[in-house]
Formats: sequence, structure tokens, C-alpha cells
Amino acid sequence: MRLLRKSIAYIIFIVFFTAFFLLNDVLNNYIMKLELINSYNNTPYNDHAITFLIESYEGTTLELSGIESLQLLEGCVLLKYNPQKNTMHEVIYCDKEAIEITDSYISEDQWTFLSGEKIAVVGCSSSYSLGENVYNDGFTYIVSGVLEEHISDAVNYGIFYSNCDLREIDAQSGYVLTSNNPEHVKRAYKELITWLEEKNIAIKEIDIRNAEFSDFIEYNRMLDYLMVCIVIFYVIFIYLVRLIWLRIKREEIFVLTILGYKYVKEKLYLQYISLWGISFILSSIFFLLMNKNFYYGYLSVFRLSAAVLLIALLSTFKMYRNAKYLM
Amino acid sequence: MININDLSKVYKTYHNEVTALDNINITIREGDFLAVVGKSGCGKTTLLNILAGLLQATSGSFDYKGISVVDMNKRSLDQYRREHVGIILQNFSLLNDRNVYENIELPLKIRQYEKRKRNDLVWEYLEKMDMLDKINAYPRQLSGGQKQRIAIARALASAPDIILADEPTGSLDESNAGQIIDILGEIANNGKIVIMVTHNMDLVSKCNRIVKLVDGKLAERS
Repeated sequence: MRLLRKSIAYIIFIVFFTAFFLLNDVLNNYIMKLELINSYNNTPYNDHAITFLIESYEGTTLELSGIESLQLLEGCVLLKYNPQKNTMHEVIYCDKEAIEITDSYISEDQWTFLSGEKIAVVGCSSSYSLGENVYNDGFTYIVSGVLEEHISDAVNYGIFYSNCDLREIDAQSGYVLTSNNPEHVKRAYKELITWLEEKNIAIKEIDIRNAEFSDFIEYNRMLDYLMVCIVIFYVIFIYLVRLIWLRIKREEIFVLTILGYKYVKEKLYLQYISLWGISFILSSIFFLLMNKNFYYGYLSVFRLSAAVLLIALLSTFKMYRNAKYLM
Repeated sequence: MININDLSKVYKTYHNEVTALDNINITIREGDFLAVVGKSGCGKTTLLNILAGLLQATSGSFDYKGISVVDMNKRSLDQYRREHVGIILQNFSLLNDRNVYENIELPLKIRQYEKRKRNDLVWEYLEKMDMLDKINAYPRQLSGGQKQRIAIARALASAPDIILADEPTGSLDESNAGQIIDILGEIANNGKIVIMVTHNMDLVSKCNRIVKLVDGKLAERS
């Protein structure tokens, strides 16, 4: 009987946590996209650059290594924003004409990228100049290009690395297409859309002017508000769960009190924390098993969940002192 | 022996004050089977809760074996209840997710008795209550009279000196009620203090002492 009741409680909490993780996952992706916009100083679209997301199912690759696909990016730079690596940017394609100063870039040099050589392209305001070494994440990159001045400081001060193999560029990230010649950007973008459509991959422009709430609130602020709202929501939710849980436990609390048990509150709180803790661990395992495409990004989901949970548990700690009044 | 001196309890709300007990003075000795009678709201249960250490008196004192209970802190009150008081309630207050054995064993576990001793005591009190055949039953499988017997067995198992019973027969039929009163009388005969709150005047004839409360005041005693 007790086992049954406990099992039901655990199942309810596991379902809650799994939903909690999934919700966080969705929010996390949403926030990442907001961060993406934020990183480009909310000026994603202008004559010199277009910032866009490529929307596709996971595992799709762009395969930019073919001559045909490289030709459509002629005169442009294609940069990839990697949300899993925060501010890390990669150079997907960098044509000679898109670079203000360069020592070696011509279209054929793209094969350098294919060979996986460590090359960096920097924004015009970065502290690096041509030929210098840039050290990042244990690797050395040689600065082989400096970009034309861009309207976004994120690009001007950015350091873009050539980490990727053009055959395996994922189609789930944000990209910046830029050039010193606006005509190149417009043409390349148009051709890129057509080329991707043939592959059933859609492009979504990130344009702050069309964004929701943009007329009323800055995205920076909105992110903060969103996070605060999430935390408040979870804290209130956990308070309510605790209240219901105390009501269910009322009978046991009362009996233990009349029998003179001196650790009623401690026992109660231990049970409560165990219930959350064990459910959290079980649902984490369940969530990991459920997500076959587990990758580094999910760790941030767990970190966020764990932090919110900790805040919620600590905030309920004070409340347990009043448990006797709920009997 | 319990000495209650000028005990008062006032419930305060934002709008008014309600005097539940007004200067109560009673002395209760070992072997007394005391019935506290009176109409609903006259303060019977308040008195019982104060004697159980579940409620704080507004003024006055009561002491047990010369020790003032009203001055005890929470931990001492837990100990007082654990070691000296057995409580029987109208709604039985059995834990529904534990069987009969586990319900009776609970106060013994709280007192940290060894497993063998707990087992012996549970069997002893079940036998006394003639409930051995229900040892593995859950409360929902028992009748009202049977539940009350288990509640009494639980209250007695840790050998308390004081038994506080709040309307112990309130949910029972006449036959079962009579049997429960007989059991309580027997406990008193064994030298324990039994204090029973009831509004059923038919049952008090078996008690050797009766006090009547009217609007929180002691109206009659015998």
C-alpha cells in the first residue's frame, strides 16, 4: 500500500521533471536564438550582411564542398554562429573579394578549409592583424583575412575560425552572410535560398524589425524578464506542490505529533527533498535515454534545471517551519 | 497526579476574543477515570489538548508529578507525550497505509524499543483487545469498533501513565461504545489516569469522577 502510494508519487514527479526538462529544452533553444540576435547587436540585416537561421531536421548537412555551391557564395563570407560554443564563430566560406586585406584568399583556397587547416579571419576592429597567431581552445590559428567594416560590432570585433569541414556543416545553426559589396550579398543570398530549397531546407531571416515586442522592449531586457518569469513560475509551482503534499501528509504529521515523535519536521522535509531529488535523478536518466541525439548543449538544460530546482527548494525551506499550522 | 490550577485559554482573532477555558482547577489522581462533559464548544477538547501538550494555555498552570507542563519547551512536550501520554480520538487517527501491526508498533518505534520487544508488546495488546486475527488487516478493512480497539492498543502499547480520550465512542454504536468504556475503565483500575471527553451522559456512569464544563467554566464536579 505504502509502496503503491510512493510509486505513484514518484511517477507524478518524474512526469513533472521530464516535462520540466522538455520545457527547458524548448526555452533553451528559444533563448539561444535570442542570444544569437543579441550577439549581432540587434542589427542583423543591412546592405552588407544578412543574418539567418537555417531550419531543417537534425543531422542534415549543407555540403558546401561542391564547386557549384562554392560558386554561389562568390565574393562573400559565410560565417557560422555556434550556439553550443557561445561566442565561437566559424568561417564557412571566405572569398577573396569579401576580404579587405588578405594574403592568399582566392576561391581555390577554399580547399585549405577542406584540408582542416587552422585559419582565422578577424573583424576589422579586432586586436589581431594579418599573419598573426590566434590561440584558442588549445589550437593555433593563423590570421589569413581581415573583414571589411561591418555595421555590427560583433562582426567587427569577432575572430572567426576555420574549424569545420565543408562537407559536414550542420543545417541547424545561425549564419551570417557578408561582403564588402552589397550586390554580392544580395545575389549570393538569393542563390543560396534557391539552392537550399532544392534540398528541402528553409532559411529564416533574423530581422529585429519584425520581431515580437521589438517596438516595446529591448531583447536584452526581454531575456532577463523571461528568465525571471521562468524562475518565478517554477518556484510558485513547487510551492503549490509542497502545499498539496503537506495536505496529503497531514494525517501522518498529526499521528506522529500525538505520539510525541520529535523529528516530525525533519522527517517531513527529508521525505520531501528525497522525493524531489530521486525523481530528478530518475527523470534525468529517462530524459537522456529518450534523447538519442544527446549533445553538449543539453548540459546547459540540466544546469538550468538544477539551478532552478535548488532555488525553489531553498525558498521552500523557510515554509516548512510553518508546517504545524497546516495540520 | 495532575494538578490543574487556574488554567485559562483565550482564542484571539482580529475581531474578538473567545474564552474557551476560564480558571479551571482540577486535581486528578492515579486510578481516576474522569469524564469531562458539556455541550459542544464548552472547552472540553481545548482542555484535553492542553493536557496533551498540543496547545498552549493562555494563563494558569498544570503540572504532572510536580513538573510544570505549561513551562515545557517543544522538545520536552514531545518527550512528555511520548513517555507519559496516550491519546485516543473519535476519528481513530490510524495511518491508513499501515496495517494493524504497524500502527500499534509505531509509538514503540518512536520510543526506540528493540524489534523483539516491539513484537512482544504488539502481540500482547492485540491479544488484550481480542484483535489477533486482524494483525495484518489495514484500517479500511476494520469496523469502527475494531479501529477504536486498535487505537486504544496503540495508545497503551508504550505504557503511558495518562490516557486522554476525546469522544472515543463518538463514531461507534451502543454495543461497541459500551465495550470501549469498559476497556477504559479497566485501564483506570490498573492505576492509570484516564480522562475522557464526551457529551454522552449515558456513558459517564462508569467513570468514577465527572466534571462538567459550561462556557469554559467548571460548573459541576463529583
